[in-house]
Amino acid sequence: MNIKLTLNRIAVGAALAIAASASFADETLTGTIGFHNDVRAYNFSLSAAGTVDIFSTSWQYGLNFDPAASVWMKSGNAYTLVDQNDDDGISAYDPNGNFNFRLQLSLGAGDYQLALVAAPNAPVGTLLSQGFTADAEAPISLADWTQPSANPNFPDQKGGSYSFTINGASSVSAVPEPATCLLMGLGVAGLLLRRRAA
Amino acid sequence: MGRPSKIKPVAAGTSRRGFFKSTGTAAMALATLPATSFSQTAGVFQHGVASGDPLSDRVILWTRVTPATPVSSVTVTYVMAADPGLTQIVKSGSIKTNPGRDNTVKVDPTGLLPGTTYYYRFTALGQNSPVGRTKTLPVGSTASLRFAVVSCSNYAAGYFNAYARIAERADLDLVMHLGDYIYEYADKGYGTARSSLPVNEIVSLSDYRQRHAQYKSDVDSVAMHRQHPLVAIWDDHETANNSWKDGAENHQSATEGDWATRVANALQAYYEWMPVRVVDTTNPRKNSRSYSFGDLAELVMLEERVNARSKQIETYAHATAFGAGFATNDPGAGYDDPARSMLGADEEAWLSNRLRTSQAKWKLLGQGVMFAQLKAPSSQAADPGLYYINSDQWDGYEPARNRVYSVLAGDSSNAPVNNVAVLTGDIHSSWAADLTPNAYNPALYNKTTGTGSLAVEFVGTSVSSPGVDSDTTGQIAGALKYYNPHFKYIQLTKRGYMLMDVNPDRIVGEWWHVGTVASPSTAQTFATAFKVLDGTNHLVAATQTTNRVNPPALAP
Repeated sequence: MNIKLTLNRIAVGAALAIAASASFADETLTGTIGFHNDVRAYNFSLSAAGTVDIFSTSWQYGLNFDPAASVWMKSGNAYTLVDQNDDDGISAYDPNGNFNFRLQLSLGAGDYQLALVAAPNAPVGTLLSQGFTADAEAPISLADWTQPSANPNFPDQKGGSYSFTINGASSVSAVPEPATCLLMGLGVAGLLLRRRAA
Repeated sequence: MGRPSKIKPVAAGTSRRGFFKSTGTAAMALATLPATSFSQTAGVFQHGVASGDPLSDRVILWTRVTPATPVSSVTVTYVMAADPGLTQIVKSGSIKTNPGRDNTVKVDPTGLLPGTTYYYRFTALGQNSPVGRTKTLPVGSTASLRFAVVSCSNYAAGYFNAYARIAERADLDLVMHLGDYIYEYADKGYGTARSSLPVNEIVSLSDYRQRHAQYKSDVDSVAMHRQHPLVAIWDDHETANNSWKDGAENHQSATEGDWATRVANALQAYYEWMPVRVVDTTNPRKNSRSYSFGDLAELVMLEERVNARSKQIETYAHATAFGAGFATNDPGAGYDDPARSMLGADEEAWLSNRLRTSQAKWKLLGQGVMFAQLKAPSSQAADPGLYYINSDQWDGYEPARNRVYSVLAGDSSNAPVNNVAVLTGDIHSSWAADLTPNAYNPALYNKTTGTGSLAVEFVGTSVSSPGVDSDTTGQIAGALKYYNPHFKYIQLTKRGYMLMDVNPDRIVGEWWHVGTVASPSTAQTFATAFKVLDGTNHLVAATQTTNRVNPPALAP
């Protein structure tokens, strides 16, 4: 395997993904997690006060893992907890209940971050810097993990894909994961090395 | 089998051979044991808690939550402890449920110690469940196994007093339910002591769920389940009367839809509401499994209904004193077709393997329908002889039964299999039998010495479903024993349970009968006991066993 090429492709792919998600208003975003304590972060902003509706639809009665989400408001360099949700409420359209999250928030203008996790990985405190309850645990691959919401009779929720829709935000962008940042850095380094070698 | 319509009152003048009479000893007092008093018709945990399918390192814990108003999901936590006060926590965790699972909860904590009693409790929506008690299976050298056997618990037909008496016994390792845990009939369709919910015959998923919920709301059911782990198989009424793989006597496709859909509904509700582990997630109908109780016993549980059973033949060509009868070799009927099966080829092969390879002292087969032959005399002078009277039990599948007998007997390649005891429910009455393929041939089976018997069968009566309650004098039972020499005990009118006490030297089966099911009652009577000694493969009379000394405390 050509490691340099692979890393470059990953780096370009990650950059494209971020660019593609940077747009306005209604957005449906997708991604994957691989481990029970993965956290996926998305920055969004509001240019003026308004209502933001964020909901996931990816659980699909057990095809994928049970997601939960929290919204954090940026204040200086810190993020403080605005609200969190694990499972949406019951409705006439969903009498069997669901394990999708939904957050309907009235927010002021500003910058925010959405953190998406696999339930029950909940915020430790009111500051994002305090992390999540499962951060200290050794990562467990989803394939080896029985999520508390998994069907006890016919095991499900092995899928790691997620999707959510955010309505009412001015802009949305994925926050690169630390690993992706590392790969991007390596990719840039690889490009530099190639240029020097040319 | 549902209503025992095949067993009719015996004709006048039929001989009675009452070699057995119920001992009728006084009701046994278990005053040293605390009463189980949990009763809750409202609140989050109104269906109590249960445990089941114990292994040496794990056991299923079950409950169901009832939110005050419908919610999308409920987070439920649990703790498992070594003591009734739940101070020595050994396991804890969190699970979620939702209406898609009928708000049922099931966890399977692992890493438990073998042969150990545990106590557990759930918490949800700000409420605690009652405390439950359960026990893992032992490993290695094991001196004793003591458990209750129940079947045919029909809510509409009466009160589950047998469950209540079992709940009071602190020295049991488990409770074995041999099927007909629920009944599918409409209200007043089979029993009038209590009203059924829903009022219609249950067909849809919602119907089956509601019926299970009603049964799990019964105070005596709650009491039994929270004190003992359950090992259960289903018989026919968990789906519909006299079910087989492609239909049932009590299923009319024209009005009740597709049979496969109904089975799927029934089994989904069953797995949601029962403390059992799914055997095969790709085939919910497969339910055969075995449990090793150390080196003492292997419990082999059979599925005999919806996975592979061939359709019952209903050609009854002979009139008998007990109703219409049949013979295996009736021309054109098909009873002798070796392709007809109770278990299916895979399960038959699995059973043969378990019987031949198990290293346990005893092999206990938990199964639904009577294995022993049951014949009645012809009532027609021109058609003399004895004829089978119930094609739903193994009598209707004689080639398949003979294949099991062949395994027991051994052959040139396989040693005989000894120390097999069959445990059965289904027919709402109490029976004890030697098992022999030659029950009616004195040259091959001696009813006095037991020579020729290959195994034994203990048939437990129903928890509440009616038997042949008209047999108050025992005349019918006596006649059946006369014509079927391999039966050592038949009692047709009493409800109750069996108590099995197993050690390396013998299995003792005790029949315990409750005073009534027409109302809540604490009365119970030890009826009789039979035992099989190591290596003998036939029954002899026994005395009542003694309770274990200092058993673990019942759940408070």
